[in-house]
Amino acid sequence: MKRYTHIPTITALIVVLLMAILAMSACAAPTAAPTSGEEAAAQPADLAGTSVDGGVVTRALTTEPSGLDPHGPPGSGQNVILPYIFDTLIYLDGDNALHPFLAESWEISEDGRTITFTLRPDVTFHDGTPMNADAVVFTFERFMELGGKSPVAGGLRNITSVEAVDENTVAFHFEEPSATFFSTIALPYAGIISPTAVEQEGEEFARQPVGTGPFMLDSWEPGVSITLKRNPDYNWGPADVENKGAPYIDAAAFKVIPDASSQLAAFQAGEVDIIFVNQPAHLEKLKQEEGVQLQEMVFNSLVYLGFNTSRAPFDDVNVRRALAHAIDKQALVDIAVGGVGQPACQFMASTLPGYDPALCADDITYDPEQAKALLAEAGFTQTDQGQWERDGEILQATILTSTRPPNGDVATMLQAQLAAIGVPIEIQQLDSRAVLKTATAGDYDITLWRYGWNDPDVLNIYLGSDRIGRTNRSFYSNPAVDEIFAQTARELDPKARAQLYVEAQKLLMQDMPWIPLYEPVNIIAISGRVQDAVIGPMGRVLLNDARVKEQN
Amino acid sequence: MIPFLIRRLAGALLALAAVSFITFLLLATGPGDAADALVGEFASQEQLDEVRASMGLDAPFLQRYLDYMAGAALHQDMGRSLISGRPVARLIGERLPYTVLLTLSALTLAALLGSITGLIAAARPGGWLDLGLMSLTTLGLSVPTFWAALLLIYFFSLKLGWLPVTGAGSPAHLVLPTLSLALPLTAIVARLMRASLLDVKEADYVRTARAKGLKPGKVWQGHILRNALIPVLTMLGVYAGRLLAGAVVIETVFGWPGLGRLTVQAVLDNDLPVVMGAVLLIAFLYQAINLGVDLLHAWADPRVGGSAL
Repeated sequence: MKRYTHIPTITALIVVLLMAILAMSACAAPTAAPTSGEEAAAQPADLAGTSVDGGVVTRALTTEPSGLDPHGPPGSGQNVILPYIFDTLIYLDGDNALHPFLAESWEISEDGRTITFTLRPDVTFHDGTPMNADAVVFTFERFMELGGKSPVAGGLRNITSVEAVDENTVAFHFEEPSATFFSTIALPYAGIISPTAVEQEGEEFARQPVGTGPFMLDSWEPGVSITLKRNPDYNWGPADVENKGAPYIDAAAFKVIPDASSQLAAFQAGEVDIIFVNQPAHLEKLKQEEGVQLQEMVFNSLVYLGFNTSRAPFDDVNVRRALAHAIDKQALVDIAVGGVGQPACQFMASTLPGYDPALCADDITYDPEQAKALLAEAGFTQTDQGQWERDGEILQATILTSTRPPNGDVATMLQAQLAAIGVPIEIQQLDSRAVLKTATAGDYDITLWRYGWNDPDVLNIYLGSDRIGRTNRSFYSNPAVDEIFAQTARELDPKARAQLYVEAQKLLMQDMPWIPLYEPVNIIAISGRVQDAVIGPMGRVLLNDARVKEQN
Repeated sequence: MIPFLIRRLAGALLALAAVSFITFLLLATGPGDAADALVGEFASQEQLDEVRASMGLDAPFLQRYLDYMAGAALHQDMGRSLISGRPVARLIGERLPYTVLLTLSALTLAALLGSITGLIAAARPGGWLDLGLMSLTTLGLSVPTFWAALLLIYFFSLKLGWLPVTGAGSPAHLVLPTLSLALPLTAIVARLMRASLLDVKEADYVRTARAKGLKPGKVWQGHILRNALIPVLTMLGVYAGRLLAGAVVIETVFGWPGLGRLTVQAVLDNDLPVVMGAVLLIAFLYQAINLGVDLLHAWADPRVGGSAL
């Protein structure tokens, strides 16, 4: 039988095909040189290793935005790209201080009900349309109409009208003073859009956005990448950057890479220059690489344990405080978060107004004995098995949290710490949307959650009693706190407003509807070939000053 | 032939109707809907209800299903994405070429490489080459695809710098996804080809062919190979449908803009029209491929052909 192995025609066919495959991959290889796009090829060779104008900076995106209309549905990932294409009236820096941007200056009337902006006279949209009072009125009227359902528009709720006073003056009229107005109009969703482009493109505007930003849309390859090219006429950069003019680089590209490991590999291969690092293991790897710039970003974030205060026994402040005493926040950060974070000692993130270091003295410290004492005070007795019982009910809880890392590790650590004082904990992990739905319905004991917001109003949103059934998922209600929140909403003086939040926090820290756990630190990795990328507020990476260093 | 085709087409239509109904049912009655995805974390119940009503999501299930099917069947209107507002036909049209390209290239590679491997292994069953190749196929079958993909990235992109990690658009971008996707399939084809060849080699008609003095090459070409290929063809057909349905893992690892990723994102967003469009298209292709394989089968094996057609 062995002599039947001779099969000439097929062998020949195979050899030819294999050669064809090899040839194809070999030819293909050079075009795939691991650099991102057309780097300044025209530059003379002797400039290699120095900064040159031109080049492309590529950033990895986990999800592709469904559109780039600032007034489109929020949360589809467009907020990463919007700030490159659109500018806002004012600029809120990383310390939450206000700066002029498209508006040169603004004035607040005596009664706080009219805010008048004077616009820069020299700004044009990418399509050549002048950016003037009419464009601003158009933008905000569209925002209030389309985005009215959007939570982002909460800060615009009290606006009665937007009026073009003259070519470069716009007046916003309010029903009552609105303190969150400024932080709202600094959001990427409040970017000023070109009225002519919206008119011409209709609903295609989301695919062909036109703003006044330092970059404009060049191409969009669905599922692959979005490329922006430099706006040569740009001359109105925001406060955080040195170069107010057009960017030095030719283009900013955004490459869709859903998988975090692939993002890391693409970064290491030089295909992307900027990635968000959210896994401790990836961070360790990047730390060992030469030239990689690892930068901390500000998201004004806080991770906390929120109680369902409508459900026994967590309606009892002693129980809430007891559990707070059982938690060793430092150990939590060191072990569960890999040391990438700071233990939190109050409700307000340290980068937001209303944070006061003095309040940390009132924070509940790690003290298991005190925890047990408080439980005894609340009427619990310890069983032989070490568990706590009141009226025949064992004290136990389920921690509800999302599947996003590092929530699983943090919840597990909390479970161990609470077990140490005799409180058994179960962990329930769902996807983020399901967690929110379950929590809004009040169908939970304790939730492990994280906020990130650019205004201290975040406490009103999560703990104001008028938000019960919506965002106040703790079902927390304290009329004294509500009263202070009501004042903060009308207070336009930043200092006075911050002080009000300090007062609110004093009450909150007595009631403990949440246990503040830690402030996460978010790291972004920037390739060594990109110089002077500026880290802005809320995770922005500004590329106005950026230059690309050609490597030899 | 004609009655056979009519029977098959009726069956296919029935399958499509069933798929559409079950998919719609699962999405419409599952927890959450696109309104949840649209309004975000801070919305009130009233805002949610308002958005839901504006999208027509508050209508009874059966009415929504019939409306959808009427639009799709009578007006060839697949609707628009509830999230981005873009036409479903366009969203799918953007992704389909990539999926077809990747499927075809992986299928071709696996068919060629697998057949050759099976052939070599079957030449001397029990020999060292056979043992070596079959151990390799076991490896190929048991290595998880995403892990193989990451290994390929590590060697070819990071160590050697030959191929890009992610993206699409040039032939180079196609190489690693194709290899990762073809790896397990190659192993399956190789094993099936080997088993099938050994089977056929012992068949009566092969012995007869040899007995009547046919040259070894002719026996291989005309009798052994042709017959051994039949089960391989059937299997490839089934697999082609599976690959078209989206190689989600591979698409995710390599950032390949295929149908799988679009569908998964749409499922996460509860974007019903997009999911329906993608699922129906895949079901249709699946049916078409299977019909094609049946016809091919009938051509390759006259005995089957007689009874099937």
